[in-house]
Amino acid sequence: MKVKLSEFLEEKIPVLEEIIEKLSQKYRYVSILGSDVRGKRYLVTEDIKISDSNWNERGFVVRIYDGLYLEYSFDEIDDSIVDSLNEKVIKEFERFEGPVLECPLIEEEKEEGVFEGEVEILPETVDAGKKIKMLSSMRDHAYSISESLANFWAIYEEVNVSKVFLSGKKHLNQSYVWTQGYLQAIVRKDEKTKYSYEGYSGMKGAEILEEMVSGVDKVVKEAESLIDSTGIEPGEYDVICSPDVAGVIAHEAFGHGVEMDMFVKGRAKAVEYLGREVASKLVTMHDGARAAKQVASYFFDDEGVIGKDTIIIDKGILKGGISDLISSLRLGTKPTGNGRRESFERKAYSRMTNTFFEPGNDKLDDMISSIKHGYFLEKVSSGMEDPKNWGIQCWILYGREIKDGRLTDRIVSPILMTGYVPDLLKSISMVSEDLELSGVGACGKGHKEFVKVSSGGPYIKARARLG
Amino acid sequence: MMVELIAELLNRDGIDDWKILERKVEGEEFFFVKDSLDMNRAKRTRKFFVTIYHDFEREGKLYRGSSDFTIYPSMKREEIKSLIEDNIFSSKFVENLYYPVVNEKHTISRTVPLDPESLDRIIHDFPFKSKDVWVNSSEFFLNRVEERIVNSKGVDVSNALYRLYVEMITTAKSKEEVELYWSFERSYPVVRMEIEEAIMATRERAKAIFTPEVKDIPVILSGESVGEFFKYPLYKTSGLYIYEHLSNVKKGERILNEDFTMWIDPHVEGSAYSLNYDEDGFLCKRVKVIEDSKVMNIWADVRYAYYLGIEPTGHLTNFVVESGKESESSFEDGKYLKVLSFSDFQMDPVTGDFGGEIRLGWYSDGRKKVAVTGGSISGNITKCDFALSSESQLTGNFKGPRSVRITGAQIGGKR
Repeated sequence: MKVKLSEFLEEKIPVLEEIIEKLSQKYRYVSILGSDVRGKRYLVTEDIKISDSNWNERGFVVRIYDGLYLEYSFDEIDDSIVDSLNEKVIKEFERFEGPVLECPLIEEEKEEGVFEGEVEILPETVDAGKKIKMLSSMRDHAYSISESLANFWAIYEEVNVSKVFLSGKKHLNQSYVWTQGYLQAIVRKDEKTKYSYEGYSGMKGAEILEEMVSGVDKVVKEAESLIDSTGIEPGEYDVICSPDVAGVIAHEAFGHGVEMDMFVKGRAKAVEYLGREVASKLVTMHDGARAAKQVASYFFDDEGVIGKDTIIIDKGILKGGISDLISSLRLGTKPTGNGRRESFERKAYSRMTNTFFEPGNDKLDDMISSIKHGYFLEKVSSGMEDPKNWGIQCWILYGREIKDGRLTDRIVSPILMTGYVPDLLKSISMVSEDLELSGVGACGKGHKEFVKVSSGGPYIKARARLG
Repeated sequence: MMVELIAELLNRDGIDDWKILERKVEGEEFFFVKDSLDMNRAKRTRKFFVTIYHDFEREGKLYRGSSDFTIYPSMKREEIKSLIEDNIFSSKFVENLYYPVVNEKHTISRTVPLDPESLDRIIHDFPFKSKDVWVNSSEFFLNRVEERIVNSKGVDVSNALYRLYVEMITTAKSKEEVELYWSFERSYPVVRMEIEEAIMATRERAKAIFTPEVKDIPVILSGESVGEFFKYPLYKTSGLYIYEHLSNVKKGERILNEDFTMWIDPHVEGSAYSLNYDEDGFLCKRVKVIEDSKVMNIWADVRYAYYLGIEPTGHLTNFVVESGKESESSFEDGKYLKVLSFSDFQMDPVTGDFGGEIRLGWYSDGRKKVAVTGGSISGNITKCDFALSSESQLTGNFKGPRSVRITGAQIGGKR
């Protein structure tokens, strides 16, 4: 079923065009992004909670050019918008006495387009009662199969995105739905507490609830198995990374590292390595709103640039970065459709979308049997980048020991994987035929500016420092 | 007035109680690359966070369903009515045990504590350059936040405060350029001393060597990671965690090996998280949660306090850990690894596992101290001993010792 643009935005287009026309008399570039994002989050645990999705927003951001770009975010359209922009932004800029980093003017081509996403079951066609009933039965089943279960979460979230981008030459609309589901089992034995999770996400509708049902047994058993896990002896090991662990390596290692606003600031070591070998020949890495169909897929970004599929690493060679519009103007490069905002209230930065390694030719069994002593790493908790100095940190939920080419019963948990990005990527020696992307999490820039992303890849064999 | 309109529409059949949190934000933002202005922005937003409650009985037990939703100022009366209708329908499927809404009327209204300097003054005084170290990029956000909370029982209270957030990347060069990330969040201007310390630390990272492989030595956490370290006892004593079986601590029991005292405090000076009223309109209280490692009180909002049969303290604002008796310098006797900056230090409040990759630290073999980078520390708080420094700090919503010396953590370094 097709997802229609919000009536609210549809209705506001004429008044937004009037604001653009008024401001265009004074400024050479004016654009407005309008967002109406509506969603619900259903949580069933010890109790039940229905709330708005954290991604909800409704408002506008106007951008003008006055030697550099200035912005004003607002959620009430009235006659005061142009005055407020003058008072709060332009006057503040004029009062500023320090140096200014000037920027070229955006030269736009005429562009019009509409995108309507399509899902199997539109979330609003399934009532809240049915959603709660399904999540409650997942929780009840979890308790029925485990005596050590201390808590179980079943979460379903649906988000309906509508955006319009208007400027002198552009008129773009997009509307689509993404959903995600999350199961978490927390087990306790004596005084030890452990947990595991399963995530589901996609440009999907309420059909994702059905996918979640089959994950309950797996997540409960996995959490139970972690109760007897031990800590890992810090050191360097041969590892097999599951697709979600591989995905977070792609994201943290060369996703953040090639965000091109970092190039402008001189924060990206990657600039020195363009065209050079940064990874094993087995590594090809993509990012892009059109590189995959996942939660970070869209028609145009928050600066009105059409989304693309960018190859960041091609057979080990660093090819290029991902860029917002203003950074591309400053660098003299083409924007890649990666200018994203946390919401209309925030600035646009160069941000990742769907980031992943391409699959290879190896069989997972062969990869495991090639390891004398190492770990099979599964489930990512979080990651952090260091674009200047290429450090990487990933918290991984657990690792299964591999000895003499076989998985043993020993499990270590949790694991902190750290290292130097090129060392880690150059150590990739086997890549499986699989490709899985997951988009349950969110990505921050530093410690803020969260946007929805997905990441993934095949199973990879590498050498990593674990602690 | 929009709040009055929403209240009028909420006073209807199918809704037993309701609350509205109106939040108005006016913000100014400046972004710099080195000392040059990259962009300036401003914003003005208003939102109404609404919760409706619907009571029903099942098998002789009283339940309270609820649904949360947001009303935007651009919504018209008919759209709001339809949204309310949808959420009444949804709330009927939420089978939670009954709990009350806040029913105490107060007249304290928070005034803005300090009229902060204008943002351009803060920027004017900002030390973009220093010897050997420069600010690569920085972002300044000054938000004036006004909140009003009203509910169906007649509560009508407000908060108003300034939130200043500064993020900066400092860079230094030796063989190659190195950088460190910093963020400061306050209700008043960031003090110059904190920025000077950040600049000095960056100079140190420029000469750092890789963290060596060392075992069985104390680890000293310093700065922001100290607050993160104490999130384990903080959340273990939360009413929500206890109700959700994520914690099984009980009043009177010891929570960790070492003695320390912790408070929930809604009035920490300078904190951007200090508030009179929480989002339910409850007058927040300062409460001693842990004394000498013994659980004294559980902190909980009105709902979870009702479920657990305890006095509510309100939602979390700030948490305060009392400083210790030893000075930071006394921690630096003998061998140790002191870490000031991590990529992202994390404490898992459910399991007690903690750790992070080191961006800047110092290793001492007992004779010589060297700056180190890379490698990691990890451990579990329940298996560690620790001591608190006498010096204190304020980071985010944590006020407490500036350093904590931990024994029992693992260090992942290079041979």
